[in-house]
Amino acid sequence: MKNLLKAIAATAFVVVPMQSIAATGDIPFNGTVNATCIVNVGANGVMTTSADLQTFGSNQAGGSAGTASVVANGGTFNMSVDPVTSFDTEPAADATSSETFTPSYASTGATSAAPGTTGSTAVGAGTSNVTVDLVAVKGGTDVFAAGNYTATVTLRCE
Amino acid sequence: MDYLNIKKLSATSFLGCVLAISLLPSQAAAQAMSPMRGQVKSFTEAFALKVYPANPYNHRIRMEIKVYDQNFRPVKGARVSPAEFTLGGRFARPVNVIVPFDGQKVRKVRVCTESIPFPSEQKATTIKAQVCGKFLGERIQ
Repeated sequence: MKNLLKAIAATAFVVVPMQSIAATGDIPFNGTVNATCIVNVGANGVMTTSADLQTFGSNQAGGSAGTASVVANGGTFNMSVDPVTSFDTEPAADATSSETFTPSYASTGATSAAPGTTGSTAVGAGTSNVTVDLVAVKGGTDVFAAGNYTATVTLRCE
Repeated sequence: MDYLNIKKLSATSFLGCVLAISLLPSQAAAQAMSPMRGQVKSFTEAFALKVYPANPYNHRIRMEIKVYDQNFRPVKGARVSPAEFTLGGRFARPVNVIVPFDGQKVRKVRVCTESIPFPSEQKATTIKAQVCGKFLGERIQ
């Protein structure tokens, strides 16, 4: 009988719920991610001349497009390039004749835009790999004078 | 004359602007600009915006904040503080923009963060990044 009581007491002790000793609490987290667009400019473009010296552009042999990545997380953003009206710098010998500029871009990744795109394109969510080209063309019998030229193309996300 | 008008505008619009600023989202991470959309109501002759331009690069860059209308013409009388600054890599900072209604009841503007291009290489086409947010100001009379 004595042993039976001891066994019952031991069993009762083991059965006592252990979780009542510990206390827990939930900590809530929250946050907001704004719809946004990031433009990371990569490499500069390089312009070279055509064989007849009337076209000077990044799409010519030996030239290269500028690169950028556009990251968007949704929203209703568009990418575009601004018109270019003149070189930032050009040789004095070239200042007397004008040229016509055509900035364009292409995109792969989250946004698809064919090479030569000049208008606005809806930006997809994710990372878009963008290449930007600039071509300047002389009219008539004018040619690009020898010297150094620089130009700037604005890539916009809005 | 414009300077005097701006001073007058500043004094009369301050209270309304403080209210408008306090209602805008304040969080900012490593983003080019946040927020990029917004609608602000103001009781005064101007409305205020607070944007957070960010430098997504690992190195510091110079940035410029400009205010344009719907046709990308600079908005006359808009005040940006600070309008031009250097920002460290992966940092963002608040910029206050005050836009006069200029007699209109509703005014749509673009606030653009422009990077100042890196030094150009010879024969190079430099890309200038521009991120523009679209904002609508409504005057409550």
